[in-house]
Amino acid sequence: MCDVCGCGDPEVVSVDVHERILSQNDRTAAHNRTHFETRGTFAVNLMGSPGSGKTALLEATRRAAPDLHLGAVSGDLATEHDATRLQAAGIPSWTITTGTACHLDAGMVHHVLHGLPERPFDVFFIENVGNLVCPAIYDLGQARNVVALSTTEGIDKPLKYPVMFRAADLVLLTKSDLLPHLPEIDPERIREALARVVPDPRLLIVSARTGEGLDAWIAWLRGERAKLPEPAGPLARRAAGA
Amino acid sequence: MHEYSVASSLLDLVEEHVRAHAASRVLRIHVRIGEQSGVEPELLRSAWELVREAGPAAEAELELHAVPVRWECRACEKTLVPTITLRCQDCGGAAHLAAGSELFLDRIELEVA
Repeated sequence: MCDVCGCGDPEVVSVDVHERILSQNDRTAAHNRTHFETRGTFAVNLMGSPGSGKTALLEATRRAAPDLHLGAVSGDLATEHDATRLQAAGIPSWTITTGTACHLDAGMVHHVLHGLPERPFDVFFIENVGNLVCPAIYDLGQARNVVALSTTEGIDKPLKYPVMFRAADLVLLTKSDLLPHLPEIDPERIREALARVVPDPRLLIVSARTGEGLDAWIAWLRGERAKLPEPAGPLARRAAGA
Repeated sequence: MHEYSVASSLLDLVEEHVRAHAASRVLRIHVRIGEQSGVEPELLRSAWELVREAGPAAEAELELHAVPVRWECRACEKTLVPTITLRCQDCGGAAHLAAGSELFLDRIELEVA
């Protein structure tokens, strides 16, 4: 630096960025979404607490809708137990082992997409890491978010985890077969808690064990899948016999 | 805790701009963070301390600007006060979160040699 005029002094530049911090994840998610949509695959990001019954719900979905071609990827910190269970139930499944990460991100899902078989799935479930906090803010490229909330988790979870429940297009109140043993759990009060944090709350009461509510769940899947943009990609056309 | 991943994404984004402007140092980073963004400001700050390490952003100050939650009617665009539902008290329309879910890198101050 020059002592006389200060030339060579570093200049301070203020740069307006106005970009989402997760923009890189958003771009990968958009790529994943295109991948699913061009194949006519309805992708569901299934979230919920550990033990809320996400895997059991998928097993029951397989039984209740044998005509739907289902696939799944399960995210867990460790083990491939969920994928093994789903395979046994007849759902081709993959695992994302996250190590210490508490959520899936779009990059992890993208990595799996390259290994999927050529025949497109009707519905592809992304079973997220069991957690009501972190997965809520990561777009994976799904068409819809579904949150599984089990009857034993109490009535105030939507109030405690508003970001997660606000992200949900549908909430499934799982393990309804336990309700006779839980006199303090009134599904109406869960619905009320949901209405305080979500403008258009949608709640279905289901049981993987008894099959209660599965018809409505399957009808929702079919109805929402029908809203997908027309598949335009070569694979979807091939699948349609074109 | 996902704040560590968010802080890493923030660092990646900042470093892109450091390269683009051939900057030698980052002085300050302005982040806008909604009260319902799903990210805790204090945890993000701790995570930032961990990820910035050596490199041009090592001494950058992280300024967090909190954005309060504001619900607005989707139909008549009035600001709503949440009650037992998130419906407009005037027209019955559903609310949407008009502010409070932001997670933005707004501005960075760079030293360019």
